[in-house]
Amino acid sequence: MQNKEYWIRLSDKYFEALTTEQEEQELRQFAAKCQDPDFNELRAVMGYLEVGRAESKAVIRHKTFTRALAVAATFTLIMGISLFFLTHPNRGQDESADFYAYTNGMEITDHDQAFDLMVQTLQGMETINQEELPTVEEQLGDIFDGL
Amino acid sequence: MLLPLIAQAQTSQLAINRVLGGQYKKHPHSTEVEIMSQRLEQYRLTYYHSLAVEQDTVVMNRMAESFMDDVPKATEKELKMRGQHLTYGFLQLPPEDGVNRYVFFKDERYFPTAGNPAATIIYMEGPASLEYLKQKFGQQ
Repeated sequence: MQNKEYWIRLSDKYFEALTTEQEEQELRQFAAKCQDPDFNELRAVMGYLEVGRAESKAVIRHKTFTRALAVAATFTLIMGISLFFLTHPNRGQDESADFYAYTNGMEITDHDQAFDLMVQTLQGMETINQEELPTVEEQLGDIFDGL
Repeated sequence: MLLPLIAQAQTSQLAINRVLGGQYKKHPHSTEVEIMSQRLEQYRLTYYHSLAVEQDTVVMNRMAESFMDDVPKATEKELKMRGQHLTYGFLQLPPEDGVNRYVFFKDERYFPTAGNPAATIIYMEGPASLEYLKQKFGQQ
């Protein structure tokens, strides 16, 4: 157990920034328990520093938490996008890379328009097929029937 | 974009590839459509490629010739002539990897049409049967 004179001397040393880490720790423990008004200044400074240190730790913790949250969110986003493209292999190509169409030298970039052209073309084929024309086999049959 | 699609289709061994190779896509009187999309599934198709050309008789004749060169490869066919001219043709090619393959051709030059007569060639692949395609795209 140290006497008051010791703490005054250590306190002075503290204010002159000459204390070691161990002495500061010792002085901090003393200031936390001491009720002597002669050490009010010491308690005020050390208390202020303690509050500041605690706040600083809280800010660091908050920043660390925010950074971890951002990393987790980014990871989740990347995983989500990867999973989406894995389960939909044609997505991303679809509507652009899996078709092309040109008409009169101009490119058609609209998927629906390309599909409409396809359906129109197919239906147009049937129009000709409906014509009452004999097939090659029927024509040959007619020729041989006449022999 | 064109080359990867064509590479996946089974046309490389066919004569119609001479006109469906993309060489006429920017022709001023042509319409070329190539589709390999999941949306084709509604028609039971996996690949569609067509070329329609107007006014250019050289290209139109080349289309007819290339179609005729593939006739011997067909397992089923239907050809309609007007005089010496092929006006309509259908080929069913041997399936590859279990996929049905069809080629259609028509030439409107020998028919009275409202607009400019066109020659059209179509290549399609997919599980669709011919009966299904006729039902789907035939005149209602």
